[in-house]
Amino acid sequence: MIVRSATSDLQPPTTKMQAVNSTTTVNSVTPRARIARLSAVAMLAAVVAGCAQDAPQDTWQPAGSNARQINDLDIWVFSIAGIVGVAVFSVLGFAVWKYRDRGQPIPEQTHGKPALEIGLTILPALILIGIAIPTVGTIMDLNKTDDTECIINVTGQQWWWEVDYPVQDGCGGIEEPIVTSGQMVIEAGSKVLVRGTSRDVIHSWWIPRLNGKRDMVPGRIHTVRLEADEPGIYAGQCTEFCGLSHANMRMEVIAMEPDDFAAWKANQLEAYASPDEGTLAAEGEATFITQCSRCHQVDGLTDSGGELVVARPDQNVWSGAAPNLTNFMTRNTFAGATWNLLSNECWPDVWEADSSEVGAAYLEGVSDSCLNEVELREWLRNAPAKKPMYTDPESLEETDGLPRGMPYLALSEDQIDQLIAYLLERK
Amino acid sequence: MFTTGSKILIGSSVLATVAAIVYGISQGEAIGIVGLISAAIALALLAGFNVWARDSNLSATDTTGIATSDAAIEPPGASIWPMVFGVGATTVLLGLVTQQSIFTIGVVILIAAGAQWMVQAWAESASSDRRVNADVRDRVANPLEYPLLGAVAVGIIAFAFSRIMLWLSKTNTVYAFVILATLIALIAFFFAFRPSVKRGAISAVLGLGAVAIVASGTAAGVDGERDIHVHETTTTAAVEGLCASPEKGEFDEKASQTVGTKSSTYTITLTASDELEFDVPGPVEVGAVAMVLPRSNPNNIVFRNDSDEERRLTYDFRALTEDEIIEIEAAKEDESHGGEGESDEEHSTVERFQQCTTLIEPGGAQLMTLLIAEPSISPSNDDEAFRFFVPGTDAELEVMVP
Repeated sequence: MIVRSATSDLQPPTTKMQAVNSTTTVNSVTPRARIARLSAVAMLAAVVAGCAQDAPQDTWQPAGSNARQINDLDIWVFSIAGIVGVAVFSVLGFAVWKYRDRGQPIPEQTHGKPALEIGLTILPALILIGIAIPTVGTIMDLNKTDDTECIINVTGQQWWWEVDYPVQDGCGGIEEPIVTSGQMVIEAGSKVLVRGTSRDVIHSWWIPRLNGKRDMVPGRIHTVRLEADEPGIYAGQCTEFCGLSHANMRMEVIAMEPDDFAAWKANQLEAYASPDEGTLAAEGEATFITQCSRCHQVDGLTDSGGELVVARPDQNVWSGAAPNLTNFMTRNTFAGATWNLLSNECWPDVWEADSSEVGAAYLEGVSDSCLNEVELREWLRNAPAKKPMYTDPESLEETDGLPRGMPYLALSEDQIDQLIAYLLERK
Repeated sequence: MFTTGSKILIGSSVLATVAAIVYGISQGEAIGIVGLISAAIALALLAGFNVWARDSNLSATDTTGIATSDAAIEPPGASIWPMVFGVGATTVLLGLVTQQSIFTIGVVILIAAGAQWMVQAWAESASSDRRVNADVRDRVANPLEYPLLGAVAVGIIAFAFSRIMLWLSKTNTVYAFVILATLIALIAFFFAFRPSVKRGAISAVLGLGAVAIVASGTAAGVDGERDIHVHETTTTAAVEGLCASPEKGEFDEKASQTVGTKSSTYTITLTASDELEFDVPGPVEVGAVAMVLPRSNPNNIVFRNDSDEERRLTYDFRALTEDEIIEIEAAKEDESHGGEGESDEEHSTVERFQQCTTLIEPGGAQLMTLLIAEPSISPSNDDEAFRFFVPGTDAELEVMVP
């Protein structure tokens, strides 16, 4: 900040030195003041960022009963905490200002004020009781499982989520297990129970607008409820640091109307159809069998001898699993839901669709014209270059030579063309 | 030319050499030959040194020599370390031709004796006063010696105690431990309340106790450990081909104690009417007739036997390949030849890859951890695979692995 000497306007300079001083600008901003201002600006930015409305992972914009319960509790607890905070800091500030050292004698020292001490014990206890009762009630409500209408399993591994639907009468009836990844499709308004675990390290499942987060620990099974009021796409991401690409381990819940959900299930269980002979996709099928099927399962895929092709990721990947690609193009993200399968032009048609249209838009899947081919191609060309993963063959001693993530496959551009053509038919 | 002392050493060296040759021709054993040749070399070295020093003899008329010779100066005290160093060197040589553990012991002795020897030699040059030199040595060596010797002593006693515990029966180990602990506590109390007891008495008691433990431990170690029975586990049962049998194998009356995991488990129950029911974390899938288990992930499954018979739960993965069957049979064959003489009748041919619990008492439970790598759409999924069943009953439960 540049200031001019205040005295220069009042009195004429009487000496040479004063004359110099009167015309020289002085930079009076100290480093401490500069840091304080920058901190204030940063804090303001952080506070203002909290007001963003276009925030897909905003826990303050609940979209289901479970998240709303958490939100209601948050408002109650933060209100009490805010009042307590303001009161404490006000009293503290008043005391500091009022009784600051002005050379006055030390006031009379007294010891013990039973009424005040008892009051200051009872008051916090009452405040804590006021917080504890709704908190415990909310926790118990969020752990209920007896009203479940649909059960979905999720399994975390570095760095993607597998989603499978066990056989059940719930979810409108599922007669064969459905396996997908990255995106969980549910019926809007349905009470879903997610049963989760992990295949390698601890991950955490969190769809902020639908419920709180839940750690998924290997060897244990954890449950979390989900319910979406309206059809829509609800984003989330792993919230337990899980290694190199933790930031790239995302997921979405797609809520749709019952009819749309039924159509999605039916589509997922449709029998496998081989590409027409002589097409690029048919060549892609052969390439898929030789290059991809060791890890990735495509249900119903058979080899040239008519034998079912069964992936054995347990023998090829450290986590023991790789995404099932049977209906790859029915979802619209890939590689741990990190990149869009939809191009930028088509993405808003699904992700920003009205709740009444999102189901139908999602069911259309990814078409040739809407494919985000650039990023899919980059992924197939060299996956570890696009998403950090432990795949360097030189440094896999700790994992018995097995990569954590998709390794570099040295695919040719022709093979990539073939695979993309083949994958485009997986819906 | 040769002094008296030299003649004895030279003769001993020649004798050891001859003995080595005779021993080598008659016995042909390497250890003895190496020992005798080592002795011959050591004696020859000493003989050479003695010839060079001429037994340190001086003429009686050489008065100056008598007064100024090295022998006239007060010699350093006797040292055991050169001898220990020699023992270490011999042990190293023996270890080289026998086994690595002896070699390691030799190296340890060699390093320890060498270090002690050097420290002592260094301290002896500090002054002409033996007592001062001893103090100098102790100041340097004791900070290292005491902790090391303490650790070695504790290690020996602990090892000896462990041998005693492994030699006694399971029940007697408890008695032995209680008695010993009580004894130690009583003696400690006695000494604590009688400060007038002489230090020598305390040392004697502690020394005797340590010697008793070490001696007992040595005897117990030589006699060997008690027969520790290896309990049948879900893994061994599978390899032994017991999983398909309702009777074979060992009945585990304490099976329920193996269930340490009380949550996050699947539960499969054999009901009193010999039917299999299952429970999963969270609500059971309504109307589900098959149990869906995740692939490539360990599933903790508690088998609860509510029937009134001893039963086991078996999971059938798939049929074994011919190569696998041959491999298992060969392993069994080796085991029966090298084992405790089990009869061939106890072995049944294993044709399927299965995993099972042990036989569980009525009302009992056991935890089984199951990792299924293949999906149930696998070509290896024949009619018998991907199901739980209870041998001896018709109870079975289909499993789906997506």
